[in-house]
Amino acid sequence: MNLATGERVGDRLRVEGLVSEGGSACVYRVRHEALGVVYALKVLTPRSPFPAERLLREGRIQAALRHPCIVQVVDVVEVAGAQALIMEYVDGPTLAGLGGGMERGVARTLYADVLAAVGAAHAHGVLHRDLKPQNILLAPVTGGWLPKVADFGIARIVEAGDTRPGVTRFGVGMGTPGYTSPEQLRDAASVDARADIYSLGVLLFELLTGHLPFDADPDGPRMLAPVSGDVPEVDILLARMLASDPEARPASVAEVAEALYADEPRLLDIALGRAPPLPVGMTGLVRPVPVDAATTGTGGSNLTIVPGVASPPSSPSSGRSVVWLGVVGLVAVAAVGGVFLGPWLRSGSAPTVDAATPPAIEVAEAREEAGAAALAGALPGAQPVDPAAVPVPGSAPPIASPDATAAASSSTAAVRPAAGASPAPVGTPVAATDPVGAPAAAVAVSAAAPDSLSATGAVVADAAPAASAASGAPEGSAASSAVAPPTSAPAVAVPSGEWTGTLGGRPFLVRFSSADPLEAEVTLAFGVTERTTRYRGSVSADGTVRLVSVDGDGVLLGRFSGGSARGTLVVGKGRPMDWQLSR
Amino acid sequence: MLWICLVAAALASGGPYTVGARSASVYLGLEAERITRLATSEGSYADSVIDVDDGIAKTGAKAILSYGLFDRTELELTLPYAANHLNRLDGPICEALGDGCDRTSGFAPVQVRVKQVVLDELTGAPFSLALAGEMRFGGWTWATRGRLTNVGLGTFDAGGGLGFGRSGGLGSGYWALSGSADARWRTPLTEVDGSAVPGWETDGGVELLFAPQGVVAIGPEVAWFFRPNGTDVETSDLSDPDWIGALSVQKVALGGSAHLRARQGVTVSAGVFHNVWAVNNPVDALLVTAGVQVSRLGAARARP
Repeated sequence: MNLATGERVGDRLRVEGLVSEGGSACVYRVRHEALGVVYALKVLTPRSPFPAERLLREGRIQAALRHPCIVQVVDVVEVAGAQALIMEYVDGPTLAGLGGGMERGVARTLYADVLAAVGAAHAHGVLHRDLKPQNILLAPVTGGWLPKVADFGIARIVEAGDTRPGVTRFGVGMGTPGYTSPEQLRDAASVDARADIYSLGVLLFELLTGHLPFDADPDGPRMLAPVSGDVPEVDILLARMLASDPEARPASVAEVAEALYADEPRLLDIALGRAPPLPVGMTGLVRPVPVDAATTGTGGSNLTIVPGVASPPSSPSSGRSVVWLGVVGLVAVAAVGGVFLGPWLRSGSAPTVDAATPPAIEVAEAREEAGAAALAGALPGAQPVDPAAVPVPGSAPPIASPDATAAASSSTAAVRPAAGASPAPVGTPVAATDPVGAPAAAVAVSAAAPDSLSATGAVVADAAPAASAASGAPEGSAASSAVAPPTSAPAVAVPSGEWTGTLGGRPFLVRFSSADPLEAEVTLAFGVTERTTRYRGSVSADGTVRLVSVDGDGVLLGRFSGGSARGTLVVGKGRPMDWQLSR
Repeated sequence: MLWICLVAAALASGGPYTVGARSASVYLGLEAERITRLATSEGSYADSVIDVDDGIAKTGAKAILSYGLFDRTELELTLPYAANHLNRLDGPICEALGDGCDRTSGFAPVQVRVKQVVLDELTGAPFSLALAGEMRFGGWTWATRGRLTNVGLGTFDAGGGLGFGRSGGLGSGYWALSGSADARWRTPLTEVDGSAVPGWETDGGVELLFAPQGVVAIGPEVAWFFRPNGTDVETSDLSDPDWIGALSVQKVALGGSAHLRARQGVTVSAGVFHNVWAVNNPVDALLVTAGVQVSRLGAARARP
């Protein structure tokens, strides 16, 4: 379905241009000739594997949700015999285009608006099931930008006692790897609000750090460094939201809001829907990110929003001509890419719907083909999925570069050098590094879809260069933009060995068993019984060790210096407990 | 004998705490007990007792392996061994019992127990609470179940219970209060007045530890064992091999224990217990235990 500029749709709509094009849908900018109002028109492409009913269902759900932070669907029209949605036109980028790592205050405000939107959807019994930066648009409003949640394409309406599968089949995973909860990736039909809570946790982590919370690891995904500095509350909340066990997560958006904004009544009211959403100013919304356009292969403009100045829209890019290579690439790309650079870098404009990033529903369909069993097999222990490990028919085997392997294997020393990743040619896998620039793991992407590839964590906000997933992407990918420039960051001491002391008087021991990835056994004595729990994490640039228990229930923060260490341990909803250790 | 195992079990698995996912601990202990008098149902302690000639000497060993299935779920395997004998075989009791006074040794009933922490004080709960299920099997003790020196009644038992506890700081060390209460169903051996015996029974214990410096912990402990339904020892037919299993039993023991955290992961423990209340059970039993517990075995296997 291709609509030409100037073509008329229905009686009163005229096409003004293509905004974005994806594998399953195109979004056009249309103008209501009588009213002069601009709308977005979402039309399924002829090659879309999805029935029109799903589009109509998306429209019905979104139309029923009246919230300033939810993109409105206003009508349904027929275009060449196919149904199409007429939606509110949002003349702004998606969160994915901002690069992450925004100023904390801005991120908190923006996140409160998002919580309000998701909370409103939940209040109407609607689970979004595909919350990610690509589906959160930024609408220019007086005083700044207002986030708007879009794309309810795989949303689910839940009523009390409702166990009907609806459109989603039982045993079929849906969602976007990296953002979707483990249980949803196994069986999207049986999830509840806590699946969205998980995605909101990923989103919060990414807003604050600029990268996804989980890194690929042979023993299962591990959580990267928490985010909150010396204040553990956010880390604790994130650990709970990102727990692989839904039972360990906050049960509702309200619970998240109350934990996050306990000391900010104004934002708490916004997040709980008791106050209107608050636009965020451009200042602090994003940090300029240098990107070599030549390596993106899109010809698109870079995302460089100068504080206080809105980014001017540009013409649709030539990236539209890139064809979706198929679900094989989409699965891999959806897993690691499309987070920061995808649509915005390509269009440089204002995508109303992120059609460039592989829609989650397509990922889901790809998984249907792969088989639910294979998908479940890729998710041992309900851990967050390692995107590179999701088997998809026809996908190329993961690629591990010698550089990456060497980097990972050579980083077991007690003092980890501040590794500066070397620029790599397009398509060359690189070693993923943690926020302090140290090699963390070799991550490989099996394949990529050229219209959506971007490397997760590729955008580095500041002098803590986080390289990201390596990519074996074809030309035109943004893989090379993931390569952090050489850095002169100081070496960070990685603790090792056994540290003993007390926690609340109880014998307490931390034994570091691995430097890369940083792993430790944390032992606490209850009388004569000792409980040992495995933790994983990293060391931030300021030397703070941040560990999260493998079950996501505990967060340990501390500084290990010389022969002594002190810090805080929080388990579940318990109060922070101070500890002191020595070697 | 049976009551040895019960007291020791209360020592080993009491409390709601678990070792952590994929971690393990091993306890190896020795036990010694001397019994000279049995209290009957007509009285307790001193009023109505039966002298067991020069007494019964019991020694035993026990291995307890605890493995963390999950962070708050633990599988525990208990393997006891006991060797019991009477100090005098020509006294009135042994003349009446005949080969019921023969020396008996061997593995006592093996117990498998799964414990799940449902309340964790670390997560903000006012105390820790665990639920447990257990199975016990001692079929190989069947042939000697009627001996005064038996090491088990030869039955299969199943039950469950709970563990509770709370710990906190004390000076530069800690205190810990923990306990357990269990009930179990036992395979009937015989019938008494139309009721299957042994009937259900319950045991448990509470331990309070103080470790002001964090290295040595010491404190009192109480343990109990009750089997409400059954017969009295004075009316029992001692020629019936099930006479011990058919007894109605009450027992409360008081004692104390000390634990030395010799080095990280290794704890040396010792305890002394004395029965302070008994019906159809030894009234003057004195039990001494000593053992070593090695923890964090799972951690030791972690990759370097």
